[in-house]
Amino acid sequence: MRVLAKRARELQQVPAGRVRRRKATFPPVASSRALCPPSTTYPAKHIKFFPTSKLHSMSEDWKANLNLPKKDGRPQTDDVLATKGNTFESFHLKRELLMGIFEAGFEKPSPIQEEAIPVALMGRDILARAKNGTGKTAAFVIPTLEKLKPKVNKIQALILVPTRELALQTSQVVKTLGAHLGIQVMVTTGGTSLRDDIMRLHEPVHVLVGTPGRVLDLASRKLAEFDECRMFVMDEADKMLSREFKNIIEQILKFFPQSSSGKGNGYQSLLFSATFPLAVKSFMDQHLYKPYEINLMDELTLKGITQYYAFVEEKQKLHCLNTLFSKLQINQSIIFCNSTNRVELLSKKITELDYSCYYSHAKMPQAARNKVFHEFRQGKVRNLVCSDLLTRGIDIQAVNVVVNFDFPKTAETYLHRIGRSGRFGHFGIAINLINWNDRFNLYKIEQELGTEIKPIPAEIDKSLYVVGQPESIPRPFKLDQLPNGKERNHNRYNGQPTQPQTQKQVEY
Amino acid sequence: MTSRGNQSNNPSGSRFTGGNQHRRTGSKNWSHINVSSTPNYSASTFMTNGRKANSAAQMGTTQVHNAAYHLPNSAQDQEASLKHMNDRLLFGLIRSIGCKSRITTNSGATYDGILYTSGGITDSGVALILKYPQLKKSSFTPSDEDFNNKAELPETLILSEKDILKMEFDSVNFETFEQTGKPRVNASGKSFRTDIDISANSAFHERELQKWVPDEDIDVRLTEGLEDADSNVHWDQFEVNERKFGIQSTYDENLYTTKISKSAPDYEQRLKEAEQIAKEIESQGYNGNIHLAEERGIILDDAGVDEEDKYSGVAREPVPLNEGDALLLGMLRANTKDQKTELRPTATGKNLPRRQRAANFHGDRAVGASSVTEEKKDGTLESPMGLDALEQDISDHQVQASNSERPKKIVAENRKVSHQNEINSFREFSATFKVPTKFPPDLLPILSKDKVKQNEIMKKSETEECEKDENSEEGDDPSRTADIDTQSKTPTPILSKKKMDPRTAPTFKMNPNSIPFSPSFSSSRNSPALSSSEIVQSPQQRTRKEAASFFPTGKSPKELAIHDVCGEFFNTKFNVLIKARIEYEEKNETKNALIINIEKPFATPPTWPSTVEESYKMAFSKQPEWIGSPAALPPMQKRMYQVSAQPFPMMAPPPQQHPPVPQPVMMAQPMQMDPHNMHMPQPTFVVPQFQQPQFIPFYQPPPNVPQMAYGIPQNQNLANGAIPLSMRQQGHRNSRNHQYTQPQLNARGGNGYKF
Repeated sequence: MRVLAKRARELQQVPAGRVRRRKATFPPVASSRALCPPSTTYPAKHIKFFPTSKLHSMSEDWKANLNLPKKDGRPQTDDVLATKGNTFESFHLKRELLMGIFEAGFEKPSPIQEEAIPVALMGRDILARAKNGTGKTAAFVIPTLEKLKPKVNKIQALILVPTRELALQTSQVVKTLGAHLGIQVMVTTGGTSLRDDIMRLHEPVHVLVGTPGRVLDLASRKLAEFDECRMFVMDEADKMLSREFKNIIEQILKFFPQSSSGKGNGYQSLLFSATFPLAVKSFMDQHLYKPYEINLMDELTLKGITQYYAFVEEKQKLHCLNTLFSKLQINQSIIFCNSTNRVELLSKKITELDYSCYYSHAKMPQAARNKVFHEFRQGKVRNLVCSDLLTRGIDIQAVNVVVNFDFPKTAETYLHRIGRSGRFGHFGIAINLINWNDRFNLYKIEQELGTEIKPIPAEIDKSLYVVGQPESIPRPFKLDQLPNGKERNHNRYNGQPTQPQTQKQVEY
Repeated sequence: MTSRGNQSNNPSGSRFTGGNQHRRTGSKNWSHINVSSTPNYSASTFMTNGRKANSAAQMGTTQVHNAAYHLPNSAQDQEASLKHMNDRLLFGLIRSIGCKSRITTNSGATYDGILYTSGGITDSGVALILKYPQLKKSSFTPSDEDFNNKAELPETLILSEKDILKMEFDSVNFETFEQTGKPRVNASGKSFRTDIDISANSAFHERELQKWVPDEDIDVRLTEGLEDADSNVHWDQFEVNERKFGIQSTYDENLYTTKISKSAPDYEQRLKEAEQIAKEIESQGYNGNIHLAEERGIILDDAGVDEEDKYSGVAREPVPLNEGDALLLGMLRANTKDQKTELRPTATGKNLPRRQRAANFHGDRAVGASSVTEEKKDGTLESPMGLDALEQDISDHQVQASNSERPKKIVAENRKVSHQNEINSFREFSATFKVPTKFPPDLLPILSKDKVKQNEIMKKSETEECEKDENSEEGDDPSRTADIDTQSKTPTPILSKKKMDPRTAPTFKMNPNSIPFSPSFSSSRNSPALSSSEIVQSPQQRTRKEAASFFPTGKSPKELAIHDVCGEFFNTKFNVLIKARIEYEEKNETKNALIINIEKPFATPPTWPSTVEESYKMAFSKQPEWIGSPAALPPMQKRMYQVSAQPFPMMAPPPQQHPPVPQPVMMAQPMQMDPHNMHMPQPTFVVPQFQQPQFIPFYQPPPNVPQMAYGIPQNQNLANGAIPLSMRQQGHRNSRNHQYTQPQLNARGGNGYKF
């Protein structure tokens, strides 16, 4: 007995010398990998052996030197917290990648990241759905970056998204997470100079992010070569596989490497979305090889978002919106209209009411669109009026109020729209202005989403959406990254009027 | 935890477990990989004896011995079974990676943690690495002192094979590869759950919506709808926001994408090349794909497609199988849209332009506005609102005109030219147009209330009448007619008034050689801009053209039918009399015979590729009596009877057998008909004048051929009761039966049936 107890004490302490000695007793990595049955869902990397002490001490060093952003102290819901308790380190990612991840403000993987990253690292095709704003982008960007070989100057990953703004955003995420990898990320979308994009492709590019039309144009002219591109990613996959896009995508895939063994594809496909109104079976059968399906949704709507409707006459909408502006503590808001004309008119009205407001829709010049998108993400403007151009994927952490000034046609549009608030498990509200004609659509969408939209109360509970410390909300770019960021006076935010006592003046 | 597969072929494990214990702890979801066989812990569905005999014996237990008890005793078999057990252990271990585990060491200390990895299986057992270990018990008989002494454990704990007494793993997933490939949450058993699958259990309920009550203080600015006031104001958001709120831009595209290296030695050359390629790409067509068009900078008439359709919504219609389906779907959809406009008509009349229909859907006319109309005015916003339907039609033409794949500049020019043409032609018309009759006196009070003026007009018209009689060969006096025209304002078309701009219009000079212009609906609609072949048409128009594209000239079928074809094509190729004469002459090698024998098409029996080789006898029922008493027959035969009795066997098959109308399969493969139609009894008068090989080249849509060939004339036959004819033909029957099958075979082998 005493001997056993002694041994236990020894084990607790795990002296370094013992560890090293034990290392020799383990079989080499290769053999244990060979023994690993093919059915395992875990990446072979897990079988690697790392001496504890070394791992430990290493982690101390590099973690201390990280340039971590301010911690976002807002409460979060189970949509992102219900994890198995893995850490980013447990995926055995490259050090440089881990640095990028932590510096981007990520702490622990969200459920979708926990599910998707190991499987993606293993090389399997993935078809995944997870709620809006629960970390899908990082779930495909992290394995993509891990598999990248920075020394090979070829396009090694293609990420396709439906809109140009989303391409910009995704590219920014790839750049941020891969900041220490020394990789080149290029965006290519329509609306920008094609000549410039061709020029860019003369330089090394590792990750190409773009919209399908432009990518196809570049690929079919052999300007962008995908013969070494082993990673094909589609965000908003349900939209990408709807009719118009699907044709283009299937043409793009013809330029991808073929499988040498004839089995499966010569590349890995990752498909992500929050909505799948239709099964994408035909595409799956044709282009995916044994896709690993991840479905983390047993309900469609986010837990952190409270939905209200305000049943108004068309002429009252503006008045109602003004009331909302004056009553709510809006951190940032997105207001959706159904037509480009109404977008412009409404945003004009809002500025006339002395609230800062930008607008964006697809019929604007791309330069203006990019500018609006960038400034709004940076939090320079408080309100954004837009069309469904910005319905999908746009991630602005500070948005806590979404207003559907016009009600959408389809359930997935509705879901994506309200998903602009309550990002990453935070809280937010969505307010729908419903007129007489919209009411059946309201019922229909409620039914399709299995949710109930309640009438707007006189007072909305502040705990449902109010942000305590807006300054801690992460922004895509730090000030010193921006051109002339230091010289300009960014610290004062002037976009909100001083008059209403409820609307807190927030200084960024 | 499931281990269906494992348990059945794991004799030692299952035997080792013991049934009652198995059930008791099976629900606890702990998997024990037992090293010792302590009865308390040995209950599990998955169980492997990992240790070799010596280690087991060392522990004072006899697992291996137990296992061997039921196994064949030969040394070889024992080795094999041992190997299998090793494999099972390994499988269990691999499956347990990442699971919560509880390891008991020889000392009795118990550690909880997550299994990180394991070493290979050696003779002495297996080594494990735990992550985030926690000491649960420091010895078999823990004392408080021990517990208090608990040191801070490192993140990773390595346990050597010698130290491990027992290991337990929680929630191990033993599902095989195929099983794990399925979605994690999959209650319905479907492959992938769509949105509705997830939200399925919600019931639709219509309910009274609560009215929103505005506050008292109503700002005047807020009482109007969005579009009520000056709705076409374009404003510079950046300027306004900077002025009012001091917002400046920090956007730089290099934040998002790669930098262009300007230092490259061949930069200039590359730039030129890139420019060239870019131009080539951007001048490509867009293949009917709106996204492709958008990315290539082509401005389309996107009226009716809003940004939700483009960027957010997922089209619900199933993807059509082929072009034909797509066409049909498009037409069906167009129809439903039309119905919608009838349900919710707007003020603009019944023939709404497409954009108006889309606007209807939203109750918002601006939704459908084409981006092109905005482009027209150099970025200044122009709303279609407030324009009447006529003007919209015109702008529709402009829209189509600008849908060019060529650079916009050329299009703009084209449009200009076309407008000029149009204006000129209207001008010409208004100048030359004259009411051929006397001036109707009842119009006078309308035109002018002044008596004197009325008289003047009357006079003028009279003199003009005279002049016209005199100068009928010289042509009209332009000034006079123009004069009359402007004064009387009689039948000047409204269109010309709208189009003509008196300030910019050049002074008009009559051209006596000009072709007289007659206003017609089609000419005013088909503006010259449209007829230009360089213009890309809107998708709807394009598809229409595709539908008719088999006509060689590219003209629309309507035009063909009316003008060109009637005379030549249909009159000769489809004229029964001419055809019959040709055939008769060919057959009898005579020329200009006065009397010809017309072979009736109905004489040809229904023949299909599957039946040509069959003898006519096959077509007859073996039970001749069924004809007599159809009522007493089984349903199948009854139907056969009914079919054969019908005058149009192919035109009107039983409805339940006929496929739904949109049936592209039938269109493409005319020979895949209903099986029961193929086995139709042949009529007794079989005359083999089936002219299919000659017919087909002229008559492309194949399914019509067989129907035409015998269906319609048979009706005539029955109606006329042409008994003598059939009797006469009956005489030829036997001799011709052979001839008849032969050409059919040839036709089948050749390209007669292949399209």
